[in-house]
Amino acid sequence: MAIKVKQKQESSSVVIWAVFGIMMASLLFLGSRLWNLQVRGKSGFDEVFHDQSVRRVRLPAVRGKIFDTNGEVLADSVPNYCIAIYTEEMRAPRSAVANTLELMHRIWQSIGVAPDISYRDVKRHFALTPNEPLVVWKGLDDEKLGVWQGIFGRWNDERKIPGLKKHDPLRTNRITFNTKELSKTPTSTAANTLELVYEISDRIGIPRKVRYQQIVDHIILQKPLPLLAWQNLNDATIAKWADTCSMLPGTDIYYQPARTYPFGETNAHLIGFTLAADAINEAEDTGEKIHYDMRGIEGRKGLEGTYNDLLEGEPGYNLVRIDASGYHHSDIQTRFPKPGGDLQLTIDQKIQQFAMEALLTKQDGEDPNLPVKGACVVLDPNNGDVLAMVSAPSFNPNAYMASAKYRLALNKDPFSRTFHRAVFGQYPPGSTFKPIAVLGALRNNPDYANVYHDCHNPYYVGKRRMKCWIHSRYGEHGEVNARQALMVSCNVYMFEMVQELGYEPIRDMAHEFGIGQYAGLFPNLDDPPEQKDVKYGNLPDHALNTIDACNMSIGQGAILASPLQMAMVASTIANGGRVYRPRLVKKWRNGPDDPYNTNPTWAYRQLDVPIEALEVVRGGMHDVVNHPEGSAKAAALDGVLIAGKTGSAQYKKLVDGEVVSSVHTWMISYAPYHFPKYAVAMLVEDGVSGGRSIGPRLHDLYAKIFEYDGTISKGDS
Amino acid sequence: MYAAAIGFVLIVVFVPLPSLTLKGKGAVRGAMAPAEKGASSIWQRLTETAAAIRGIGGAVEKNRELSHELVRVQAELNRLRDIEADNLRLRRALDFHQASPHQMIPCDVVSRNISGWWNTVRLGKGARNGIRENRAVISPDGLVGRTTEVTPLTSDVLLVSDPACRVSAKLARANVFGLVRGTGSNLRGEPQARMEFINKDAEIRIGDEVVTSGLSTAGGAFPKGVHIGYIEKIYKDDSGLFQYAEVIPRATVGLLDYVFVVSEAKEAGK
Repeated sequence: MAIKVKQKQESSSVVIWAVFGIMMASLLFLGSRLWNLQVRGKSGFDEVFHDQSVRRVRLPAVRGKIFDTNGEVLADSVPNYCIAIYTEEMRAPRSAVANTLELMHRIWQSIGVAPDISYRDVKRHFALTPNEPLVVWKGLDDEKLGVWQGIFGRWNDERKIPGLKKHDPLRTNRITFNTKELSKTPTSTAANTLELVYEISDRIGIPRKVRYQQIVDHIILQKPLPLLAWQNLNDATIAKWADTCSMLPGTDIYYQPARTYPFGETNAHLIGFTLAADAINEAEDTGEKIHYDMRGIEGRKGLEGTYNDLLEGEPGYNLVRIDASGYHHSDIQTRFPKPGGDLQLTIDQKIQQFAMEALLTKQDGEDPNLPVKGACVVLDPNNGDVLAMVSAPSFNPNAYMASAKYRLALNKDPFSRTFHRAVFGQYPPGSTFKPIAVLGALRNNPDYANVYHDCHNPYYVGKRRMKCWIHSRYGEHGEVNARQALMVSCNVYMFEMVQELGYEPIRDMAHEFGIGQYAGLFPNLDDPPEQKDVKYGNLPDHALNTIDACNMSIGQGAILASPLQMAMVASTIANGGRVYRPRLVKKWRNGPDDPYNTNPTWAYRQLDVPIEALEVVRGGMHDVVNHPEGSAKAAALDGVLIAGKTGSAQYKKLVDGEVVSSVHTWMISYAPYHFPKYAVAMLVEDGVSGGRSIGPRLHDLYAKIFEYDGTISKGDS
Repeated sequence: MYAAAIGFVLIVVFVPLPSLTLKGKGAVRGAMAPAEKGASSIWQRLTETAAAIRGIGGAVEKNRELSHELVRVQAELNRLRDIEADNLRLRRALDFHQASPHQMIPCDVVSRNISGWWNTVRLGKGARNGIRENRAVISPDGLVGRTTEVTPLTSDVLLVSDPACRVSAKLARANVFGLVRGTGSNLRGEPQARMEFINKDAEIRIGDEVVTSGLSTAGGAFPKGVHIGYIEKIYKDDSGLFQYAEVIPRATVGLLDYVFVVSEAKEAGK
């Protein structure tokens, strides 16, 4: 017995050890496997989990502001309030009304005819007679019935659509829903969302903005994002929403940054506008994948377009955990967007408004039913600052951003309202070019100031008869010298001068003034920006023949300039020959908390002209306004001496298929004469003449400017 | 008996039929209302007795009456101020428009306990007394909240400080609008709310009175110019697009035993 036991013990100990060994081995195996999975492979599995459940949403930053020189806000960021619907809360089954609406919309989409019943009718039907069939369309014509039958009839043959009966409407011209069936069918998220949209629309009394297809697309493509069912709400609508809809599940007020321009039309071309940014799916800086984009806005034209990178700021990201069906589950973390930088312009909004008012004031002989087409640029001749830059006719940038209909209408607009005439307009400068021509002649021949030419009618160059403007009024200027020629704007003097001295000195002078070159409005852009079909005026190298040279001496022919370039000419004459790069941006900063960087002024050229020659030209421009025979006496202002030069450049245009001759009327000017503070170029297309169309406008502009800066007291003008 | 009751409760709780649950909730609440009423009236009696013992005996009834009167007078005053402003404006516009007078339904608060189903204050009157959903509930201190679920005998009130509550508001001093959203309670247990979406350029000051906007009175739901609270702190939103401010809704702090539900006047007087 004892032996047996002993034997048993011996044998059992072996077994026990064996079993123990096996157990330990298997435990070790399991442990190592566990280690592999839980510790070594953890990051890999985490990554897979993360990839499957985390989505990155891009959030737009708030755009920086644009200020005028005095800190007035010209472009501001404001909230665009939206009614958002969170579709993840729309998944619980709802009423049969949702099903009915969904089916209604699917049929509506395919046949293109609105149903004959409203949301309230549907609700009433389910409240009162839920088991009766519901007539949704009545009196459909055969064509629509054909479409309906083609789509839904066939569907019905292949598989049953809940709520529809086969071949029913062909007999009755109606489409009837079987509501009993609809009550038994579970509702989809899209149907529930649609019902909520109808409910909100009904309670607030605003029309539905979002279509059924947009809801479906949103649920397929943008599940974790809120659906913005209404946008750009005003206070009253938000209040109504709060008081009538805020207790409905799944809806809330959401806001996105939007843009507004307090001075709308006055600055439209200069500031530009923003439109919805294109959606992107990769971060620009890190290359991280962006799954969803709450699209912001981006600048498209004007300063908003040129400085978009500065103004835009950096978008933020929201990491969102989604659930198994792809809906928003929770926010993991948010990197807040970095607000954009600000621009401060040299523009003085007051002067900008004066310029616009003056430009839009109709003068005698202009068609009162047509909008004024033209531009006006005001520079500070002492540093090149752009004080005002307007273009007419203008458009409303706020409406442009808000309404696609408005944008479409502008595209077809015959007056090219969106065209920035002040910078991109290409016009023959006409007689405003004469100061340049005279300066060019006087540079190498200082004594030419005392040379007289006889303006007589008829006047021939070779065999071609050329006219001075006064000849068409049966007058002659007689014997005039250079200064008088500028005063009365005599063409014959220029013809004689260019024939004697040639076109080259005039061309060289015009080139130094910057005609035909990029005006360099923007800093850090020494080269003209690559833009298609944008020209910066034109200055031919050679005259084709004498006639061409004569034409160019009076600013016609192939010479072209923009109002901005002609304002630079006025400014250069005013300050004694310094050519400034026009400065539009005074300062900029990269963010609301950063210090401002100053954009320096830059006189990039000093004209090489003797002071006597400049005095002849300036004297002539003084006489234009202040001499009894001057061509722009209407511009004169009591209390301030104004100098200027008028111009009327003829061009041919097509009106109703006929070639008609018309004039672009110009004036370049500066004031006060002795210590210039302002240099102005103004142009009106299809005016009467420089003196009659622009003179009075300049008078109005200067009167307002000098009242504003305190040079003259009110009521002097 | 117990089994049946437990079975019923289980069915009500676990069978996901919204209609049945609602009916069940209604039934349970209907059944509980008298009990709650009784309990709260006993409690009221007790507190009043205690007050009487403390020597204010006859003043209790009077106090209640006067408080009722105070609410009515305050609301009347608010209304008259509004009417005055309206009148001035309309005189200017030469366009006569009558502000709809509101009717006040006095209600006792029957329960404030927070149970699983209900996280609201309950009133002892319901649809039978003319109370509808989404009506303003006010007390002498101002806006308490809005009615949500209304059964024939009871109605629930969503408090201004509840995160689900949104009320459109404006500053009494200036025409500055915003939304007041409840933010629960702070650490001291005081109910709090926040006025959001205030225009970023609007000048607001600490201590400005916040009142209901009345922008949506066309719907008839909310009276104009009911006091909500005073502005405690002003913040600029991170985005810089608007301002928001903290408001302490006084009316929900020391909630009284009775409140008024504002409804459109069907006939003049009560």
